[in-house]
Amino acid sequence: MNQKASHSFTEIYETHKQRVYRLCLGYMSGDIDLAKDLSQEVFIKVWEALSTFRGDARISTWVYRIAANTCLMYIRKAKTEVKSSLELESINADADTKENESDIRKLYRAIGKLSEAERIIITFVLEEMPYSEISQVVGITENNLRVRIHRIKSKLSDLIKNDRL
Amino acid sequence: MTDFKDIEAIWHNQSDQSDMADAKDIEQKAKAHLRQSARLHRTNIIIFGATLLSLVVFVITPIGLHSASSQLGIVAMISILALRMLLEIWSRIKLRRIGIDTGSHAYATQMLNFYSWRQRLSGGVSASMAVIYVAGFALLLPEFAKSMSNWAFYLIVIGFSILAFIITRLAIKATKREMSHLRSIKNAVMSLK
Repeated sequence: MNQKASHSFTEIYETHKQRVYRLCLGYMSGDIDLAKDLSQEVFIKVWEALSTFRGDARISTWVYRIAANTCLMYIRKAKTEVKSSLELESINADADTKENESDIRKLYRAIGKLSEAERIIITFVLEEMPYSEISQVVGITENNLRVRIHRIKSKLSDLIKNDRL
Repeated sequence: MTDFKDIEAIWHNQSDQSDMADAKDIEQKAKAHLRQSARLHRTNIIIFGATLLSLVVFVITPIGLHSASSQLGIVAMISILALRMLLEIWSRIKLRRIGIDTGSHAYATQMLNFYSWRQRLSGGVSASMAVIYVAGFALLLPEFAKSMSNWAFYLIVIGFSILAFIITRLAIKATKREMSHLRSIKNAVMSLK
């Protein structure tokens, strides 16, 4: 059985939906509604493109390329402002402690201040994707990626440090 | 929370989103989206095709146009419509060729090239085409004035003017939207460099 035939849409969706959702949530500065809409748009594109999947990349790389590109184009359609802390309040409110909620709010607010590509890269890094896979998704060399990640990490830390809640 | 290890810890402390759509719902939405795109594409072709066909029928019928200027006018209008149809079809093919599953850098660059091409098309080319189309119509008017009653003549002129106004407004709106896309894509490409 070839790789293409072995992947059903349901299987792909169930395997990747949470990661794609968190990716979208990172892009959308923590806006849950936009992130849900965006992750649906990603999977609609995945469904549409599934017949063209040639199996020359890992299915996860293929899905995240579509996710990253959909996000890039979605941002151009609906440039979002960083949401107020009130709007971000509901993020996992039931599951995390108050301190965690506050830290998550800070984190999403900080990610929202990065450039589009930086948001994509740092979200993949936080999702612990291997650098080789991130470089294939984003389409830049691994060396270039390492330099960028180093910069983004310190930029993100600074943004969080300087965030006034 | 300034050390990156702390940031990672916070990230991993998030719980999964529980109320996400079912895979079957996404499939239904994708199918509906596909049907809607196909319907829109068919409608566009029918509108362009019907207009083109009616112009061609008008020119080949015995009661059609006789003067050289009228014939030149109708040929100009038909040519512009046909050219516009071809450009739209070509544009769709170009956009479809940009695979969404390519690396983001290459994808954003290709989208940037596409919208830059659309910008050229929407600017000088479309404006020139519109001018030629209106000039073609203007060339028909003397023969219309001779062969039609006054009310029919004014009806055609007013109808064409209203239609031209609406189409121009829609074209300007679409162009502005595409230019806004272009600006945002430029930002996205710059952020990927």
